[in-house]
Amino acid sequence: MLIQLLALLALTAPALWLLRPHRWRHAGWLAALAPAVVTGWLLSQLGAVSQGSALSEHYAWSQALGLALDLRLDGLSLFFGLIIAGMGTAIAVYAGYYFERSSSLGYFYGLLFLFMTSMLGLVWADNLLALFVFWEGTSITSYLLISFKLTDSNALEGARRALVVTGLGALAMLGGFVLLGQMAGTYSISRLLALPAGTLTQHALFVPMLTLVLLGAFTKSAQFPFHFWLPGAMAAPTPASAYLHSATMVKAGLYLLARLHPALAESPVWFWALFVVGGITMLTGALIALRQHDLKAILAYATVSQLGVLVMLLAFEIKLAAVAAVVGILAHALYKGPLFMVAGIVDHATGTRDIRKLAGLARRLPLLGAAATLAAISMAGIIPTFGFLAKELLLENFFALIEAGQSQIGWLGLAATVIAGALFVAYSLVILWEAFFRRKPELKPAKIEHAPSPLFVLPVLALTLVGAAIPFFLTAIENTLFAAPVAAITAAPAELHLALWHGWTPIFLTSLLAIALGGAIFALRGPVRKLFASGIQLSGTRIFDGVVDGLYALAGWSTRTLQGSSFPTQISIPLLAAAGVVLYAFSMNLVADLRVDWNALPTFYEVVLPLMAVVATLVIARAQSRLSAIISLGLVGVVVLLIYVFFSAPDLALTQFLVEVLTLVLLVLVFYRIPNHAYPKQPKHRSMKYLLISAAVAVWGFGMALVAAGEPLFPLISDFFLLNSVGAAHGGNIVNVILVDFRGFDTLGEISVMVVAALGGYALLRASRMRPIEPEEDFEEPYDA
Amino acid sequence: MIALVFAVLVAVLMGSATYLLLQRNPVRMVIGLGLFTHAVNLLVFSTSVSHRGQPPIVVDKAAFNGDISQFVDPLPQALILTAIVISFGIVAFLIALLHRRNSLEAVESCTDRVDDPFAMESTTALEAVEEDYEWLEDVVLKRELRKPKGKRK
Repeated sequence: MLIQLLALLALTAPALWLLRPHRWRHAGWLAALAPAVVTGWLLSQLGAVSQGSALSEHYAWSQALGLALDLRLDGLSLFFGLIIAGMGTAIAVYAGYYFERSSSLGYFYGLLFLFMTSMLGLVWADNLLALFVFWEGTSITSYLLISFKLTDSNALEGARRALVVTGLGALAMLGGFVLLGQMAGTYSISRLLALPAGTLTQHALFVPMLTLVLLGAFTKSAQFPFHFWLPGAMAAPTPASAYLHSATMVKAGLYLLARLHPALAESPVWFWALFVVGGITMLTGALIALRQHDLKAILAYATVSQLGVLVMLLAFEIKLAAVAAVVGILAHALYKGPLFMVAGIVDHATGTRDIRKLAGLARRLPLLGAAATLAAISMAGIIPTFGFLAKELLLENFFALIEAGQSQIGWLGLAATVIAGALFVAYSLVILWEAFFRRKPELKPAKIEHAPSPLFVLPVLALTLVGAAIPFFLTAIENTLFAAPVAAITAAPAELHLALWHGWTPIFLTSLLAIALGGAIFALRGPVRKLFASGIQLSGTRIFDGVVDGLYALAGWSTRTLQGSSFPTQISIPLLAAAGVVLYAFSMNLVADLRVDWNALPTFYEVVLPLMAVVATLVIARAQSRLSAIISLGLVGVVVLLIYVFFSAPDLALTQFLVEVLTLVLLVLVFYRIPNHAYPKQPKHRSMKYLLISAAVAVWGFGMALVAAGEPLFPLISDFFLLNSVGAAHGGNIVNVILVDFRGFDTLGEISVMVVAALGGYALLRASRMRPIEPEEDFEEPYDA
Repeated sequence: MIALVFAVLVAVLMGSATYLLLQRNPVRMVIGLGLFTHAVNLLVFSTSVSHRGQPPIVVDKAAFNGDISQFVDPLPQALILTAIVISFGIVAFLIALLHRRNSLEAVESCTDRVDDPFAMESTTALEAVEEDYEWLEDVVLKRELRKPKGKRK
């Protein structure tokens, strides 16, 4: 059933494109059908999967290579699948209204559904290599969605950054996967997780493997120092930002970490990498978010920060951390997605996302205001929202650590979380107050050009309402929805008892402290923003662009230097390089190793003829007239021909004869028609340089010929041809048999070269006839007017 | 000793061929290419010259008993046969190219710098185009001269 669902989504992509959905006002509802079906089916599996059963599907592909498409639906896959399909349904409806009859809607849906297919494949795959393929699928669709507006250079650059960063990470991850597969002896994820504890962590290659896999996860989930691509990705249309860059794709890294958690998390390297990177990302993202004015930029950095929190939680092995991570992932999807969608509607209605130009939207757009408020207080973590529950669990995790004796890590995490939590509160309040509730904006206010229809706001409101309702039905869903993924992360059966209200515990007081701090930062936001704006802006974007530009410069420099811009340089460099190798070999005293048979004596003719060729060659080099040069070339050809005769190569001699005659005729014919230009003499120093190069090449040829004439170093294949020519190919002329039978395809290639040369030559000769014809006498001359 | 003879011949051919290829005169370049072909063919051929023998042709196929020691190595011959034909194709194409270039009358020496493919802004493209259409100016000029005096500006 899993593969059918993937096929359904994959086929929806081109179908929607071909349907040209922008012709219908409510096309979004049609598009939402497929993801709604997936969501419904996943919900129907919830009961069985939460009991611990998993659904596996196996599709053989290449048995010999051990390649197969394995899909598996367990608690974690189902949980992520629900987020992807559920959010996908809402986004499909939303996008229909967002694009509002723009003809690019079909293209957008095509990409969106391809992405959805890859993303679901990613979380359902039970094979590391299949997971990698789907992973790259999400990267590519994300690239295309970011660069959706092809005329916007910001979008194109942002897309390139996102693709390069996540693509390089994915390549590293692939290396890690191969190592992991070799270490585990299987690429199947479920079998890999079933290995006895310590098999992987004790392996010698564990740390390199882990580093590579973590690189993949961290780049995908926008962790410090790779976080810079995510804000750049905000050039994508808002439905894509809401879906890919907050709710689903950036969580692929988290999914991978959660998936491999049981096998790898024992290692201290895992713990410190995740804890430190996640912590730094959490604080960096939260701090930078406060500096932004663009609604989407604030949300993007907030997402970076939230992803940091979740990575940090996955560092721990205790159950509480896993619970906090699972709840946090769902809570984040259910408030950050809607907030992005709100930003899109605001942009749609007013034409701007600059928070300084906005004010009082809640009064004029009450539905939107309600949705934004619900989502924002959830982001701030104010009781009784889903976000509050997630934050409680996060804090509880650190309190548990302190109680368990790991007090340093606990206090460190607690302090960082409180700071980040306060910043969360601050920018949630900033968004709410400045965009929705205050009366006067800082800059010239933006007008509401056209108010969104209630149907446009509906998917946003629906998502926030689901988020808001969950804390009140905890007992009903905690063990069906949350327990199975937690069990998958910790590799132990889990039973949960979540509650919104625990009384006046230290956890709640800490939560209140964070809210109070956040309120204070909000009140002082003017000075705080000024302070941040003046600070050093270490921008990953700038470093990345510098590296890319540097690469271009390096490529340009090496091409200019090594390839040269004139023909002499272009041929000198490779020839000199080849000569250099031979000269080096001579200098290493390899002459002694030449296995030349010095006793094989030439006959009288075999010395005189080459001498003739040498003389003819020197004549060519010094010839003043073209004709003497051409005739001397013919003489060299005849000598070569005779050498072929003496050394038992009749076929070569025949061919050489024909070719020599043809070349001579061609040269004389053509050069007869080309006037003999007087070419300026080369300067002295250049002549000397060319002579030296020629001498080096001559030495190269000398050395190569000596090596070639020696005894072969390896057994020759020639005997095979000699022995089988008569028996297998029924031919007596062995050279011919080699050409047309044993190596027939080489000869086909040779014929193709000749055909291309003939066509090219024909075209050139024809073209040279196309001289301008003399105009008629009475031709009206436009120049005369 | 045969090896030495071949080595000297190959060295002289290659050195002269390189020298000719580096010249400005296109005729010399074509001849240089032809010499280079001979040099490389002889280089390959020199692998089979130490052992003399019959040409690799089985005259009486019925009587062939698998005695292959009488033949010379056929493989270099097969390789060179291909090389001869292909290099002829290339030389012929080059000659056609020279013919075409000559007909355009744009005489440039081969040491002229060509456009840097990595440069952001092309510097030579415009001039090249202008050169290509020099004949047009000639035509216009001729026509101008052929017109009766009164009609000329």
